[in-house]
Amino acid sequence: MTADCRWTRARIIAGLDGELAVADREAFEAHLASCPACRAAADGEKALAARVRAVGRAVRAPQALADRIRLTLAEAQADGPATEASRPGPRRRALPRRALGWTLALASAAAVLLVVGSGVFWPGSGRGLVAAMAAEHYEHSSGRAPQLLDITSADSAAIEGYLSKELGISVKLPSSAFPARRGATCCRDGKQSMGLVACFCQRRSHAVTLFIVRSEGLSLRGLEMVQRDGREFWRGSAEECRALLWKSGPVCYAVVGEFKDPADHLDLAVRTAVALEARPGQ
Amino acid sequence: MVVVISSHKDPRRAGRQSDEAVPAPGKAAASSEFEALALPHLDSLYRTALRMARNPDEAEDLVQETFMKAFRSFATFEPETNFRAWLFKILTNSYINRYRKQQVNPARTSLEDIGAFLASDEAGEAAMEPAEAPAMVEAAMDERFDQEVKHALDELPEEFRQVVVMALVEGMSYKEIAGALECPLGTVMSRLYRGRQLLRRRLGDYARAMGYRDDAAEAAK
Repeated sequence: MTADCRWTRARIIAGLDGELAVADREAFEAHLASCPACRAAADGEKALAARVRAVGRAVRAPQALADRIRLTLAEAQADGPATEASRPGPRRRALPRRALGWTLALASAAAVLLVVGSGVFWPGSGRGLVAAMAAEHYEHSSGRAPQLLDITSADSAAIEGYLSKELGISVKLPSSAFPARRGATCCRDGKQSMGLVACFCQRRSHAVTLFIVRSEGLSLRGLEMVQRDGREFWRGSAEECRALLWKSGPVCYAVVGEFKDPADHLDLAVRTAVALEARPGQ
Repeated sequence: MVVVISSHKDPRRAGRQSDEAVPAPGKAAASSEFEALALPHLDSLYRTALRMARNPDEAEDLVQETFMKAFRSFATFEPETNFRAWLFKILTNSYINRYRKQQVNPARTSLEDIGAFLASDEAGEAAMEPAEAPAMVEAAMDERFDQEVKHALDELPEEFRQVVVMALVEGMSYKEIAGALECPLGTVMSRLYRGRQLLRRRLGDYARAMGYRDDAAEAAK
């Protein structure tokens, strides 16, 4: 290997990346043209780079992320100039205080999320985000800082018992449909025992039945309508619903879950609807 | 609160609401200007976030956070500087704030530059041996290689991974990367070279295991 070879080898990566100064570039190319060994080294480097690039670039951002970003930008715009940069999610318009919604979510790790009230939650990237969203929503709707309480259980019966006791709502979780890890984030505000319960979940790609109770400003485009027992349910991917829910009106219920059988999901939505209708004072 | 289950009682409502869900055009003007500039970089940001966080959910959150932060501080962006590097700087800082409280200080050297780096032994060592090259050229044609390439990328130490992804996958210039990482050009190069060297060694082993042979005789000619 000559001194020229050593000089060239040191510049192969920068040369292929187009980062050499003009004078260096000429010498570099001239050497490659005349030296098969250095050319082989450059070819190997080039082939490897091309493969890594192809593999890396095969990844695209999910469409739903783009949709969500557009929506959150529009929301941020509607909010006017904002200085806060620390919110866990998109900022929302301030909601009227009277819109004290109650929100409850039935939870499992893969998530059942039921939302009622003036805000909406969805499965996020983990319990931290969901808890943060729950807290943000609760502050919006009640004006009070909530106390968050996490319940975690691998036993769906235990979660059912908890929800029944705390919420006075009876819902049967289809135990076979859930993976092992389950949990819920419960939001309290002191004397009122139940603000909301949000699920925490591990994955984003949940099937969703959006169960509309009364909604204003909610676009249902892109969702599939399913009728059952005289009620309408709207179904879509979590991402579709998530994007839509940003625009939801003051009252909207959603059941989000990951089910092997969509019928289980719908069953839960129906039971939830029945339970909510039976709830006193609503 | 009156709860009326079953929206079929007023089927027209949904249609009307569809229109209401579209933001008023006037209000969205500033965000659409930002969107037009920033959204073309979405894939790049997501890919890089995914390679940094190695988790799709985290990557989405990081990218969304990046867009929101960038939008809020859009007024401070200096138009004559590189917008992509600026976005990547926000992404990198978001990542550091979330996952790595202490930044591996990139700015301890200040006088490194391309020339100094290229004159160093490190640069020479980073180059592929001609003998390895034919096997690599062959192996890189093989799609079975892809999974291994992903693993090799993910297993690179973080500071190398970041630079390798930005340069190799996203095709960012060294200067852009230095701007995004707020570190000297020489640091970008030494990390890139070191990262590529690690990548190549790992994939070279794999190529040999798959039966692609180095051809020393051919290359030495």
